[in-house]
Amino acid sequence: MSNNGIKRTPSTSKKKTEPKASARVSKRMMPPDGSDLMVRFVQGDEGAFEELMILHENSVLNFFYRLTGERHAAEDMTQELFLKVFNYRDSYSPQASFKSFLFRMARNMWIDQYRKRKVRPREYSLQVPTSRGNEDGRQTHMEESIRSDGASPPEEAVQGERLAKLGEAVDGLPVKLKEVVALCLEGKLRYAEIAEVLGVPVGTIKSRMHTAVMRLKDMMGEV
Amino acid sequence: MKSKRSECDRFSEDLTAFAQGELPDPVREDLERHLKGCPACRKTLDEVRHILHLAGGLPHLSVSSRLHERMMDSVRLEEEALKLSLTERLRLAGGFMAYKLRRSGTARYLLFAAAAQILVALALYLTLDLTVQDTGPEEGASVFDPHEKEDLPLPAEEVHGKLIFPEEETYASHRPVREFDPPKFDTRPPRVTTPGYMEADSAFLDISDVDLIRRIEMENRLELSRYRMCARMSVQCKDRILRGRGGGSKTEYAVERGIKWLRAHQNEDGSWSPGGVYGGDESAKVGITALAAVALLSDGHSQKKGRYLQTVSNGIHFIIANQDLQGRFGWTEEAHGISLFNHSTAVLALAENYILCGGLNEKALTAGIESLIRLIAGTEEGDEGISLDAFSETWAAMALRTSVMTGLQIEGLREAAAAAEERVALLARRERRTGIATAASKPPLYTASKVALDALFHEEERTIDSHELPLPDRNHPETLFALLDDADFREPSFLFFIGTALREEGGMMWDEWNRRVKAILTDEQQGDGLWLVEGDWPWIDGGDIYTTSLHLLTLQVYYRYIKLEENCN
Repeated sequence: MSNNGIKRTPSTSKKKTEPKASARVSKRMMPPDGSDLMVRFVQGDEGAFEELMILHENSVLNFFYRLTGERHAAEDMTQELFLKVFNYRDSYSPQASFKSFLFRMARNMWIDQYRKRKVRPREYSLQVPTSRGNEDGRQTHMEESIRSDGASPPEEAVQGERLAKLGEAVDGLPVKLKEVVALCLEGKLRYAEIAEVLGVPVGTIKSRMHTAVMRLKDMMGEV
Repeated sequence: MKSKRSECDRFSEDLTAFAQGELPDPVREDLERHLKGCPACRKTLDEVRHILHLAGGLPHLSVSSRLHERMMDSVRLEEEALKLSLTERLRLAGGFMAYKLRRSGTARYLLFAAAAQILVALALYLTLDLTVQDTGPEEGASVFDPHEKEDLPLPAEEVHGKLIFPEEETYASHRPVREFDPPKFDTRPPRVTTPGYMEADSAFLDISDVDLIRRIEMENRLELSRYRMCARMSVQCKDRILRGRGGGSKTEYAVERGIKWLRAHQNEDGSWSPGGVYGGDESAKVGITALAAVALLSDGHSQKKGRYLQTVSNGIHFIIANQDLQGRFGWTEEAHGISLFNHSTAVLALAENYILCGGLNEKALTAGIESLIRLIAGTEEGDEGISLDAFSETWAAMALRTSVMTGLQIEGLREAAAAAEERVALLARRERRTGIATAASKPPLYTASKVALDALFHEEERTIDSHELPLPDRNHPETLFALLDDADFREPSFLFFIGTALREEGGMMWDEWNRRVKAILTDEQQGDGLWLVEGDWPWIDGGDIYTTSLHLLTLQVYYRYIKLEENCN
């Protein structure tokens, strides 16, 4: 019998709990965001915490990665965030969306880091890993993923350049716009949830998101 | 036309929301109608969709199984700590209730004292429960193996309640076989006139002489316990101290980059390799690892807290896995100087981690301290005393002083700390007298150790006479600053020791030193955060990990130690 408190239950494999990246969010029915797991965890079911973690760890990691541009920093912040959630479980209100609760903490953590030290812009490389794995489970790189999309070599190069440019453009966005972009694209949060995280009206999110996209378009030049 | 323009304006901010399916139905239907008759808005919508589509292809990361396990392990560790502190709180609450009731009347006291006792009993039960559960690994469970990074994140003590090591030769559970026997200190008087460097090992102090130790302590005010490690202070406080003492955002940025570089160059087994451009001395691996760990600890990252807790944790695991049956870390019989460096820096790292974590790896640390005491007293089994040099001995002295700060009650610790400091003083004096100046960079290095200790521990006016070399003389600051102009003198530990010493003293000499060192270090730091080995130092085999770790310590000197009377937070 393990004495480590939190037990790894066989039922919490990634396959079962990880949401499909391509799944569209139904307007009427929100996808499971882990609120029920959080409630179970607060009530003492410690195994639920790992399920929660599996459900959100990738989106949190990419949220931090989008904002910091540094993989190690993103990983450390992800670890720290879940530790924080663990410690502040009592401050979670079951009425609230867990996703908003989680990303509010994440955003505050990033703001703290940002205030302490302005994060350096990253350099985009085609060797940056993507989330898509290939058939043998190996992590693919951006370069490979572009190629696997069926593009011919010159197109790959153009696409790669575009992505690198877009990455730099996202980095160059003002903080207020960048955080909305990161919450939306990486955190996969709905506008209403982002509004809850940032404590602003939904209309403001709509406006910021559009401004961000328009700026990206301008920074990208001809698209 | 005008009305169409205003309609476009009205919908302009809705296009992205529309493309993302975020518009409420009535607005979406209006916009769809508008789009049918407005090519300009359709074009903008296409552009928005294109950008969003492109953004979907931006690089994404996946949480590796290793990171996932690391996160789970940190949570488990936290949970253990939480349970223990809860138990502690319950116990305290019981005691407090009894105290309050005692003040409010005997009858009620009896009643409520019983309630308090129940709480205490509950607390004890919980403790007992944990103790029972923590007796060891379950059958078939993997034991602590520092070479399997994915499986090691928890300190052995935290996981199983006792140290479990992978190899029989390591310190491990064999420890009870060799209980700590307080050393019988050599009673020979110090032979300060002994000529020659290698004979220094015969300069034993009579540290069983309580009066002598007291005198040394009184005379030299050897009280590092007036200081505390304050690495984990609030951001505001750190900023205040940093700026108040001559640091700033530039130095902190350099520290952050250096630490990231260290992290990126940690080996799978938690160690850091001596080496770099000149190749390394593998026998110093434990010492180099400990130095890197200390650089991280100074910045507030420990085994329990901080963004680099796992990096520290892995390093500490490696150090502990290299503890022998005598409690010595990274000890090799061939090279006592390096062995003492290994052991001393390892004890320093464990002690600082212990202070920051409020008690971790106590068994390994205690055994290490006891062993260091024996080494200093020259009573290690089969050992006639260590072959000394001021460099290694300075680390030993620092390790022992920091061990005093842990509050661990170990017999002979304070005496050994005082003795180690006195030995460094003796060695420093001897180095100058015997003119070991053939290795040009040695005297500043060794003298630096002495100067640092003088300032940090003795706080007395010391003058350093110079015979052949431009030895730093505090009465003639230019002799000190002149050393900075030559890369051969800028040995990293020299900068660190002197920096520590001068920072404690403050004044114009410190200001000028700090100004120059800051400029040199921030200028010489490479793009990816490391400092390269430059100059002809006596111990170059440490490589760039050694250089980077020590330069980090130099740049953390503003807040590494803080006096007790200073209000930290």
